[in-house]
Formats: sequence, C-alpha cells, structure tokens
Amino acid sequence: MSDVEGDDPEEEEYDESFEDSYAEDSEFEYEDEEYLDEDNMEKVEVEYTYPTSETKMGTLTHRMKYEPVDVEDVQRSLEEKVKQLDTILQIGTDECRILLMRYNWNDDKLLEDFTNESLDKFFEGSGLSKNSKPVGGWDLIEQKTDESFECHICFSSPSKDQPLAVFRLGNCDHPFCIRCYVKYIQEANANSRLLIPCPEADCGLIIRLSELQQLSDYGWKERERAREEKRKETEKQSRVPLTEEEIRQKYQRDQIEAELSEFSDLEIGEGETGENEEEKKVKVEPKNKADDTDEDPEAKLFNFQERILVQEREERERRRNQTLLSKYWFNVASKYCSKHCKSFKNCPFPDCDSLIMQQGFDSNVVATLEEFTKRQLIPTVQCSHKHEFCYSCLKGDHSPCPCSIAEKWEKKCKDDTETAHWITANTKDCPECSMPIEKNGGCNHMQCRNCNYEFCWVCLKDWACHNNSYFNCTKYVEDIGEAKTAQEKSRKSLERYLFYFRLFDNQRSSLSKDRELLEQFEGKIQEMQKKSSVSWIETLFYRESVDVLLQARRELMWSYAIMYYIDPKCPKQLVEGVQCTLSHQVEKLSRLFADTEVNAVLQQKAKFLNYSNTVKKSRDLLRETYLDCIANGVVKLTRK
Amino acid sequence: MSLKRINKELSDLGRDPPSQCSAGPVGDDLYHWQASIMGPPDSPYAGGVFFLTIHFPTDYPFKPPKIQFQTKIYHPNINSNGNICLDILKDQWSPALTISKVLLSICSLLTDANPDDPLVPEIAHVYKTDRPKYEATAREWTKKFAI
Repeated sequence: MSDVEGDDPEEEEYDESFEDSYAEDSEFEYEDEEYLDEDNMEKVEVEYTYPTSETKMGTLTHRMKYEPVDVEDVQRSLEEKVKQLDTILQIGTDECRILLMRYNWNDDKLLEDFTNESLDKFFEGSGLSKNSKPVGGWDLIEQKTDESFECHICFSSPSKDQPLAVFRLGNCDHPFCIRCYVKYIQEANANSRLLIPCPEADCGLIIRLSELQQLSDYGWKERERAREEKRKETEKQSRVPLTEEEIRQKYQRDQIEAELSEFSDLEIGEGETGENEEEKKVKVEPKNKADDTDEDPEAKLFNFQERILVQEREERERRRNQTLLSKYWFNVASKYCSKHCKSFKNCPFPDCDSLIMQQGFDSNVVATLEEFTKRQLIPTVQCSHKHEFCYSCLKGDHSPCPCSIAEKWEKKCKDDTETAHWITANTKDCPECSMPIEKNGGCNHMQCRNCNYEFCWVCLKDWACHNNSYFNCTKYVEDIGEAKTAQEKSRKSLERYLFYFRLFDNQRSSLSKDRELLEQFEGKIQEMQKKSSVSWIETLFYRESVDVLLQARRELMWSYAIMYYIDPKCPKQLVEGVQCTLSHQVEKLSRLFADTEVNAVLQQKAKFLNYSNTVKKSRDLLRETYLDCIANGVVKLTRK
Repeated sequence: MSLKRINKELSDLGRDPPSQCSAGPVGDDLYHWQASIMGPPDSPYAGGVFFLTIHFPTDYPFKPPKIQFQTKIYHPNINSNGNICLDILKDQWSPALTISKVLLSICSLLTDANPDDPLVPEIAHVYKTDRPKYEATAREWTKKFAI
C-alpha cells in the first residue's frame, strides 16, 4: 500500500514532465508537419482537385460524376430565375416567365433589350397585354347561360337547362367552351409548344401560367367528379343488405376518405397560390402529427408511415393525371435543358420523366464520355426514380460488360450469324458454284444439285480424276488436316458461344423469374405489414436484399457475355473464380428468398442481411476484378 | 366532335358562301372535301378556277386540315405537287379558324405572294427580280391549266 502511495507523487511528477515534454514534442512535430505540408503542397492540392478512386489492385476507376434531376428541380430553379427577374422588372411573375421563354431563358439579353429599347417596342409582339392587371376583372371560368353564345371551336351553345362552362384569359374577351380549351392545350403540349396563344386567330395573347393552372385544376376536378359518379353508380348497382361487419368497414372507409379529401383540398388550395412542393409537404406533416396524438405511439408511427405512403401515392396520381400542367413543365424543362445543359440525357425507361445531368469525371486523364468508354469503363447511372441504365448507350445496366462488347453480344444473339456457324461446321461449299452442301449419305462421290458438278467430298476435286485411283486423294494428308482443323475450329467456336449463351440466357430467365416472384412477395409483405403493424422501415431490409439480388444476377449475366470475348490464350482463372463465388452466393440468396415464408421473413432478417452483404461484396469484387484485368491487360478482348 | 363541327361549317358555307370560293364534301365522306377558288381579279391568276382538295384529320379542329391545290399553278408559295406554304395551315393554326377563313387566306396569298418564305425558290427569285416575267408566266399557266 505504502509503496503504491509513495509511487503516486512520483508518477504524477513523471506524468507532468511527460506531458510537458509531450507538449513540446507535439509542438515540434506540429511544426515539422507544417513543414512537410509546405513541401508536399502541390501534390496534395492536385489530389484534392481530382479525388480519384481506385481498386485494391491500384487501377483508377475514373468514375463519372452525375446528378439525377427531376422536372421539379429544373422547374424550381427556373421559378427562381423568374422571381429574380420580377424583382427588377416589377411586371408580375407570369409576364416575366413569358418574356424569359421568349428569350430562351437568357436573362442578360432580355435585360439589355429592356433597358435599350422603348417599352412599347419591347412589348410589341411579345404576346403580353400592356396592362398587367386583368382588364375585364372577370372570373376566368364562367357558366354561360346566354343562348346566343357559341363556342367558336365546337360550335356548341348553352341551352336553358344546361349552362356551358366557358374559359377566357384575363386580358382578352375571347371565351371558348372549357372542354375545347383543355383539348387545345393538350394538343399544344403534344407539339411541345411553350408559348401558347389564345385560340382566337388574331388575338395572339399568350396564355399565362396562372391561367393554365386554373384550366389544369378544372380538368382535374372534372375527372375526379366523373370517377366519383362512376363509383356511386357501381355501388348503387351492387346494393344489397349489409352485414354488421360490412357496415363497420364502410364506416371506416368513409372516415378515411373524408380525411383524405381534407388533405387533397389542402393541397389544391395551396397549389393555387403557387407554392412549391416542398413547402406543401412541410405544412401537411405537422397536421398529421397533431391528429395522431390520441393514439398509442406504436400505432401512431404505423399510421404516420402509412399516411405518408398514401399521400405519396395520391401525389403521384395527381401528378400523372394533372397532365396539362405537368406536361407543360416537362416541355419547358426539356427545352431549357437542351439549350443550356451541355450534357444531360433523359431516362430511357418508359413513362419516366427524370433527367441525368453529367458533371464531368473524377479523373485527371478522362475528360469526355468517349474517352471514358474507350477505357472499357461503364457509366452506369441511376435516375431519381431508381432506374439504372448506361449513360453512354442508354440501355439497361450492363456492367461489368463494356458498351462495345455488350452491343456486339446482343447483336450476336439476335443475328443469324450462328446459322452461318452451323453451315461452316456441317457443310462444304461446292468447288464449282460455291453452294453449301450437307453430306447426307456415305458415298464420297458428290453431285451438286445446283450445277451438277461431280466432285470428291474428301479432296473437293473433280470426280473424273478419281476414275482409276479411287482413294488417291487420301494421300494428301496435310490438306485434309488443314480442312479438318478449319472445320473443328469453327465447331469449337460454336460450342464456346453456345456454352456462354446458355449461361447468359439462364441468368436472364432466372432474373425475370426472380423479379416476378419478388413482386408477388412485395404485395404479401405489405399485407403482413398491415396485419401485424410492422412499420415499413423494419421491412426495408427485404426490399434492399431484393435489389441486391436482382442487380447481382444482372451483373453475373453480363459477365458471361464478356467471357466469350476474352482471348482464349489469356489466363482467366482469376475472373472465373470470382464469377464462381458470386454465382454461388447469388444462388444462396435466391434460395433463401424462395424458401422463406412471408410470415417468417422478419425472423430471418439476420440471414437476409448476411447473405445480401456477401453477395454485395463478391459483386464488387467481380466488378473490380474485371476492371483490373482489362486495365492491366491480363485478359484481352480481341474476339470479333 | 369533329363531325359536328364539320357539319356546322358545311351548313354555314351553304347559308353564307364567301365570294370567289366554294367548298363541299366529295362523296359520302365528310372528312374529304373539294374546294374551288376563283383567281382574284387584281392578280395574274384572274379568270382561272383553281381546284383544291381538303382532308380533315379526325381530331379537327385541334389539328389543321390538309389542303392541296389540284390545279397546277405558278406561285412562289405553292409547289408542283400543290402543297401550300401558309403559316395558318401549320404552326399558326388555331382551332377558331374555319375552312372559309382559310380559303380566304389562300385567296389573299394568290394576290400577295410571300417570296421571303418561299416553297419554290426559283419562282420566288423571278418574283423578286423580274416581276413582269413572273406575271406573264403565271398568266400563261393560268390560261393553260385553269381556264
């Protein structure tokens, strides 16, 4: 004890001195480091400007930088531009938007013209009314009852008991029936017209966005009403006495619908004031929380998530249905991007309207897409709707297979080059007329059907010279050997192709079958989620595993295609090994999916995570191995 | 919708026919019309009668009708196939326009050609450099094909 106690002060002293010295040391070190830094300044800076990534073997991967952009994102930035211009011009955002579209969003040129020209000249032919306040002061949508009115498009008039809804712009008195107006805008949208004038031929006033919004909302409400009427109609038809259970269900459903309609009313109300999507969401969410305070926390979480899902679904539907405005903005965004963004591409998936904006490469050697693909790298991108595709050839993701090889492979699978292969493997050409001939009997004395030339199958020479010495031709051993090797070579190539094609095709069919199966599961999972009140975040792992499986299968599939094109002289044990591992892991995961009952999914969570992690790792390994092998020249892609 | 509108236009044309023009369906098909235009008196086409075919698209009036000259005519904006280069038949089409208005526009195109946006550049060149020659040729063609 005393020893220990006696030691303590010493230790403290020691500690202090150590700390001191340490402090001094560290100061020195610090200075040293600074010194070093200065020395290496240039190198450090270069690395910082080009943060290249590399594989374990040290191959630079030269990733392409990109950003998935939605129409909404472009819309938001354009609206920002409009607002900025309005603070300068003070003529209203609608007018500014039209002017900007006229100038192709070149605000510098616009402002220059605005300051240099007289106002009258500037506004001349711009399709804007000189007074920005509506002259008529009327409602844009009106129920006409005046029987003398006639729509100049469809020539229909209101009758006494059936008024006609008409629409006109705020600044010109040219009313048309609203259905025709909607159809007119649809047509203009289909032709990607951005500055849509009033339908009256010599009016020329451009329809403003706020006016378009009203038309769009009207179209949406009309559609909703039609749907509601149809629903009521079907309900009326199927009216039978309800059981107690049914009544309760119906009551619950009505309640949910009432709540939902509250939301949609809220949304539409806010949409009219022109606020953007984000603000809307922020405003709706607190309301949800406030509503749920009475329920127990578990249910609250569940309902909250559920509601967000419902809301998202509704929002998507709204966007899809509200074609007038959304289509219009899509046109505006596309036009803007095609003018102002050097490198952007539309997502090639059907019905997907998102864009990918390319932002260069994280590399100091690769600057263009051509250079990038020349290095057998694949610019796989993912759009904001999670569609994966190759930015260069705009086909579905085909990594680790380079674009050129993928294209060759697909062409090979489609082409009838394989018929030609069969012909070369199984037939010989007639020496006289070059018609391919298949030997269907034992006799070597051949006669061509086409030109009646008689020849020997063995040596392909005129039969006449065989008259006396029947089997003389068998003496020409070298010739036969050559012919045989040519034939065998062709046959081998065919077998090789078929081998890899079968593997490729097998993976492809597994992929589609897995996808089908998992889509069914998805529905069941959602059901289970509802029944046992599991929040969706807890089942997220399942969906992620699905993605991993499908992606790994796709990569495996393409890796077989690559194998066909690898020079057979190259050592390919390494890639084959990695391929083998991945294929093994994938089958394990796929098996797990197939064997696990939907109810047992949650219990197997650890297994799912574990398996999909290993698949992910070997998938990355496969990708890197191919990159390394191609970059180091270990394997060469030489085959035509 | 389109049929109702075409019928209405037909009855309007019958009730109040525009001067110098006439139009009507060829047979039972209401979407296929024939029209005729008298050459305007103050133009080299005076005295001629020019026939045109009109095809209505199914989504008329939201898409413009297709109009072609059947009679050969020497004009910078009308080519040898009878196609007409007129803005209101293309991007400037408005659903509020009617066939009678379009025919009147074609009439005024005959009087005042638009050589700055020509369909047949050779004729436009003659029109701009040697107006009497253009008028003589147009008169000759009219005499040959339209009388």
